[in-house]
Amino acid sequence: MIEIRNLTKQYGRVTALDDVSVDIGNNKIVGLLGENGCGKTTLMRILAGLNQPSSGNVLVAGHVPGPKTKSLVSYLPDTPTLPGRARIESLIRYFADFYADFNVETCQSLLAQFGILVRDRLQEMSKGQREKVHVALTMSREAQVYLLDEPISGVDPAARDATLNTIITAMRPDALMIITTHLISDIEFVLDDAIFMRHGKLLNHDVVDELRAGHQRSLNDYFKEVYTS
Amino acid sequence: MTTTILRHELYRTVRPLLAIVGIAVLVIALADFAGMFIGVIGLVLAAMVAAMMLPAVQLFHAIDFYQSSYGSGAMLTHLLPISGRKLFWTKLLYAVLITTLTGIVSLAIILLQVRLGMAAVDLNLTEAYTELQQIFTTPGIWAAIVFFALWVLLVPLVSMFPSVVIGSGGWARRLSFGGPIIVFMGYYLVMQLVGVASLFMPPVYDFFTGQVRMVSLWHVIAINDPNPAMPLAIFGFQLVALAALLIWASRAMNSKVELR
Amino acid sequence: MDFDSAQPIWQQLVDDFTRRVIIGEWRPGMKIPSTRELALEYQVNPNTVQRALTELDRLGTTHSERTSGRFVSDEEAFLNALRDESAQEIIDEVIARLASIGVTRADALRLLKERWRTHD
Repeated sequence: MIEIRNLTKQYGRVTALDDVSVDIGNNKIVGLLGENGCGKTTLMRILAGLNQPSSGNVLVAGHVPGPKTKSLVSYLPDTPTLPGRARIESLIRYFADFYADFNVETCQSLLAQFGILVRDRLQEMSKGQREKVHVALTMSREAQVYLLDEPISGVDPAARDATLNTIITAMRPDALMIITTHLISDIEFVLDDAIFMRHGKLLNHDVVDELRAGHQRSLNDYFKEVYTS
Repeated sequence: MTTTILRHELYRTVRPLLAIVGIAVLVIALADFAGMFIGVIGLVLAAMVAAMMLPAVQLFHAIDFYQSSYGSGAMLTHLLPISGRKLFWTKLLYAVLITTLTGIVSLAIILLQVRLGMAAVDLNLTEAYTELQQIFTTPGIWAAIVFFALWVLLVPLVSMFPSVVIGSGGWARRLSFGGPIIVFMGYYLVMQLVGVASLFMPPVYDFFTGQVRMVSLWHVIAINDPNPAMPLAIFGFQLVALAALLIWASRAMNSKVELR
Repeated sequence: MDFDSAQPIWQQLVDDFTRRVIIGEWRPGMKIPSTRELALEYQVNPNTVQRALTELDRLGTTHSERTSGRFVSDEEAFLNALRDESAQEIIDEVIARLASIGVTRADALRLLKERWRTHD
């Protein structure tokens, strides 16, 4: 589904991604794990088509990130990007008009579950509610690839659970979900695979249950171990 | 897809546009009202405000294009499953349509001011119309008028939009709005220099004969030719420069997107 | 459910599903919840649930009808054997622990009878 070969990204003298190569198949939930600044957000943004590689190749479902991939990739950024003055219903209309895979009913039922009214404006809501709106919009697309950048990190525990439930419910056999987080314990039971990054480099790519069986420790502990080595 | 993009451009800009036009119309109405007491000066003021509506709308479109494509709305825009090329040209098309509409409204208001002014100073309308007829039947005058109108409507947009795209490339990552301004200033400076150079180059447009003459303005002045003339070479160069900028911007927005 | 994060999750799910069959929460012949519902209930990946359910099928604890869903076995003999197996594991553990503190078989059986009476 995703093929990355020797991907490097430089911003001036800062190397955000350093010769990253990895293949990720579909029908999984993959955790992209690492400390802040390790390159996970940069990687997600390049996969989403918002930034260009400095060198190396990236293919999503066989295409270079562009209009084709954007029609099958649903991206949730780590920082808020929805216009504050917009009403929810106009955002729904926007997504419905531009994305063929957007399911309006799913979105409406998610928002109802979150207790959010479509006539509300984003700027009138709490930060947690705004994040839920963004999650609802992103997960209501029946995409082939979901890129979720820190979907549970900024948010209160109740909202975190709501987001995790939305992720679990939206998972389909033909889909691939990549979730980044630095809160590994909250998410480890949902992950199939785990990819660790540090300082722009890829450290490991493992199947999580095999890690548990083989190393007899939790993903969180294994991560700490790898990180301090 | 083009109509969808245009529709959403409208949704996003309708409020600010109505505000700009609304404020202008309000000031114009006040100026006209004041004109009853302070005379023709009120009408002149109204006409000036009407004329300023056009550059105001053009500037608004440039700023809005920046905001939606590289500012706060950048991510939403660039995540759309639409090629950058299509986004660029469609957004430009929308700006052109709205600008044209504004131009027509602006012109109508100005003509209204002229009509009111002529009535106020008790001009003989028949005489005035005959004189106007003479001007408007000079050969080539309509071509010049249409050219002038298109120039005024389109050139600001066609120079600002590519400046936004080119000025938001990776090289300008730290500059935010400064990048487009730098690019536009660069273009403006180059055009000024080329403008000076074109004083010494043919052809020129002769206002009296309505013809294009293959001599330079310098030559016209040097031989003390009485007919007023305008150098045309600058327009040629500018058209080439604008075409180049458009192609460059279309390419850049298509494949070199680098959001901050 | 609190997972032991050092063991494969799917295996722990198999154990918990089996427990629910044994205690009768999932009755013989009953249709069990869907993969998605279970994934939400346990807050785990649907793939993990799927793997656990496939294992349950393989063990014979459940069987799937392609269109109608997954059902708990209604073979009484099988279910009794399942319960016995679970009981044996607990008993083995108890025996080992009692032995390690030096309790004899006779004392163990006597204590078991007495304590069971107080539990009724």
